[in-house]
Amino acid sequence: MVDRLLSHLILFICQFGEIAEPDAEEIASDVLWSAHQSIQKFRYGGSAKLTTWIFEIAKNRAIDFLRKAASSPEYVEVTETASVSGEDAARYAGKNKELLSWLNEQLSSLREDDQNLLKWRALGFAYAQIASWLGISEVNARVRYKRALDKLINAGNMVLSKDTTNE
Amino acid sequence: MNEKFLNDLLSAGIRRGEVRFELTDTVVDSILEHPAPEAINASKARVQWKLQLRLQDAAIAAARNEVSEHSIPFGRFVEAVRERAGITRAEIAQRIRKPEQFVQRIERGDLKPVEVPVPDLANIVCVFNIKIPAIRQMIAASVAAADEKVNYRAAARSHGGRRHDARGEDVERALDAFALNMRQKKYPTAATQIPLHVEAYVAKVQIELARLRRNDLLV
Repeated sequence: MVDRLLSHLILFICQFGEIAEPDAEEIASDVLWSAHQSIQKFRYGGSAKLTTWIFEIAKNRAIDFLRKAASSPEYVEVTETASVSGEDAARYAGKNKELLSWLNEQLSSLREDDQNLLKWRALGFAYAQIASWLGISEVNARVRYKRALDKLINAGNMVLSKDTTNE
Repeated sequence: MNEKFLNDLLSAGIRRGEVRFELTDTVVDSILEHPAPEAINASKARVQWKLQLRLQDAAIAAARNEVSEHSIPFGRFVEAVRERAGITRAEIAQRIRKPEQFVQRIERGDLKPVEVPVPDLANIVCVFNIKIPAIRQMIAASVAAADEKVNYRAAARSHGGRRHDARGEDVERALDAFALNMRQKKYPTAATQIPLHVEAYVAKVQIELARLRRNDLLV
């Protein structure tokens, strides 16, 4: 099973957290070891398969790794500087927490499939892959993604225009 | 606000654990169905090796509780722990980057620990997590057993016995125990005295362990 799982696990960790391969190897080895140590906690016939349980551990370990990296003094937050550029840089500076809570609020107003569609796309998964997970066609996945995205962008722009008026 | 900004915000939130992201059986099954690129094989092999080491370390840690460190030759201790842990000589040899024959010679006492290059012995000590006081006692016991065994080996050969390297493992183990027993009867106080050359060798092992940053073994 380890043999079947390992390559995919390393790739998933790399893709999920944009983590470099050597670090992903370290995390994958930790994941499989901790799954081996706590296999008795897994409930067969429960809500998820064993493989899903292991991938969940991988996801949590990747999040821990990224949090730890972010708290180290050498760390430079590439994501934020890359995403918020130009005019937006000043507008969103220091508002990360507010933005994320706004985003969570907006996501909860969408259908669960649309939320997942946005999240998987944000993590770089292909439309074809996402479409097969949701059991829809690729074209349909693209259309639904576009609609959900537009909804969020419009909501975001409305909030921003309100903020600008108040200032 | 645009698509890139939202995607970056969303991915940052997911990666920090601030936006809920759950994996389902369908998603994981689909990930597993796709063939992984061959480029990942080297990574896969490294992780498999790391896991194997962890499994061996756990087995050694469990086996160490069952084997007494008291008055046992170094090689016999290594052998007892290794066998209880279910690890082969070849696996130990691979870990310390030496031929299997080397491990066998150490275990049988054909090679006295003090004759082993210090870095090689330090590598074995690291694998089996043996602390300095125990190393000192075990090496002293190895030297005593080897010195005493010389007489019995000669006697066995002169009575038509097999060469020591052709004798079975059990005979060698029994001979080790017998030799140590006889040594203790002959020199009752010898067990507490560590020969000077053993002390000198252990001091070098200590330096090597410090270099390997295994300060936990120096206590």
